[in-house]
Amino acid sequence: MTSAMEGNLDYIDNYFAGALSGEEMTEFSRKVETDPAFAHEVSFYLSMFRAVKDEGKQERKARFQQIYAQSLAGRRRPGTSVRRIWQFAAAAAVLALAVLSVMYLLPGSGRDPGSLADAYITKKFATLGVTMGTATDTLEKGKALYNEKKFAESLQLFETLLRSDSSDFEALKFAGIVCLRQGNYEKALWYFTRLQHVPGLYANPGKFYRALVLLKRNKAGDKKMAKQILEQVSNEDLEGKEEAEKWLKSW
Amino acid sequence: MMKPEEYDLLMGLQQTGTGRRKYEEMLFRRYDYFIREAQKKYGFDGEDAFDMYSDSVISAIDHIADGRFEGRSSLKTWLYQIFHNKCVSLLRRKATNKNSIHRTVAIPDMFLELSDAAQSVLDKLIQEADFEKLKLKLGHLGENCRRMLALWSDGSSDREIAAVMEYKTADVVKTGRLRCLEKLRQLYHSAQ
Repeated sequence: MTSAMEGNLDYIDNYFAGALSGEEMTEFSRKVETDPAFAHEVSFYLSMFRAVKDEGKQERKARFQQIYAQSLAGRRRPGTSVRRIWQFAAAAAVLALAVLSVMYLLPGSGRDPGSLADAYITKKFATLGVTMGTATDTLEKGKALYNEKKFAESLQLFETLLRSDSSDFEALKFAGIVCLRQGNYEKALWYFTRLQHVPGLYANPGKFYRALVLLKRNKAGDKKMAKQILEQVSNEDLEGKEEAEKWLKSW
Repeated sequence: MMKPEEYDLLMGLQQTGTGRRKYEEMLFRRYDYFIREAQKKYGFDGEDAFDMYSDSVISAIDHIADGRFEGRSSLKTWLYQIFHNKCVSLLRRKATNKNSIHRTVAIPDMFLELSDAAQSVLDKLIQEADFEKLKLKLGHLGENCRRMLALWSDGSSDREIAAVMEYKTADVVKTGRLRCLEKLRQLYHSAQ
């Protein structure tokens, strides 16, 4: 690869990664319009993207075909679904017994992560700071209701805001916090995952808050996943890094 | 409104790497009765009905992975809407005897930020690429390259790819990824 071509590939890749400034994007468009050789390189980059994407799609379809064929075969065999239900029920009972045994036999098991999360929640989410004199603002009203422990009503207001702007990061953050306080961990994870994906946010706590919810929920596998996320928060220097590093030390 | 059991599935579909496969299959299985419905309601044969449903699931996965699904309706309702629209489009194509293969062209989001003139230039040039040859040459890349490019085309950032494939930094991934793309280009243009 010549260095000119290397440079162009990097430049093209940076464009499609959204890494260029507004001015640079305009210049990129102009170059595509006026430089045929460059336009060919860009089109080939897009063709490669399309080919890879299409291969991924075909691979998924092949997997789905297999699954569907197995599912149809299973439906045709009489008694199979009833037998399967009993098998799943038996497996679930064994698994539940194993989990309960681990929880009761291993001292301290399951307590540490939950207590770390509890302490953080008690300290940071007891109340939400309300800006004085902004009682008419929906966000502030929502926070005020939260502080009065009217969680359902506060969530309604945050969700109203999200209906007009689904990437309103404050509404996402507070909606997630309310759900966490209500014990609706799945919904809290949903809001914090959306928060994590809000682009251009300087200090995005989405990932850290996801780890927090997983520690609080503490279902099978949650502790391990929370640890992985906390490690990412630390390595990527994200919001919550200081807490993440403290918690990882005491794991 | 989303149902509580749908949130776990959505979380799983937003993962990167092989962890997501389990949730893709879960999503497929959960509503695969849509296929029978397509056969009864629209009169499709088994193959068409399967194609419509699996294309809908793949489209849904892409939207969820990109964070474009906002959860205003239940997952089932939203998926059914995608599925219904695809079935209606197919019925129309069959009714007008159009034989062209319907393909939704995958393009990165930033393509739409280009000027209209630049998009037209590129649209024409993309048609000229031998797409099947390109896919064939993709098979000649090493396993690491294919995996990295697959994650990239699924919308994973270089940082996410580094975490999944255990590379040291996002920069290392980027360099590797561009090398893979350049290798693919050379394979495509080679005489063999």
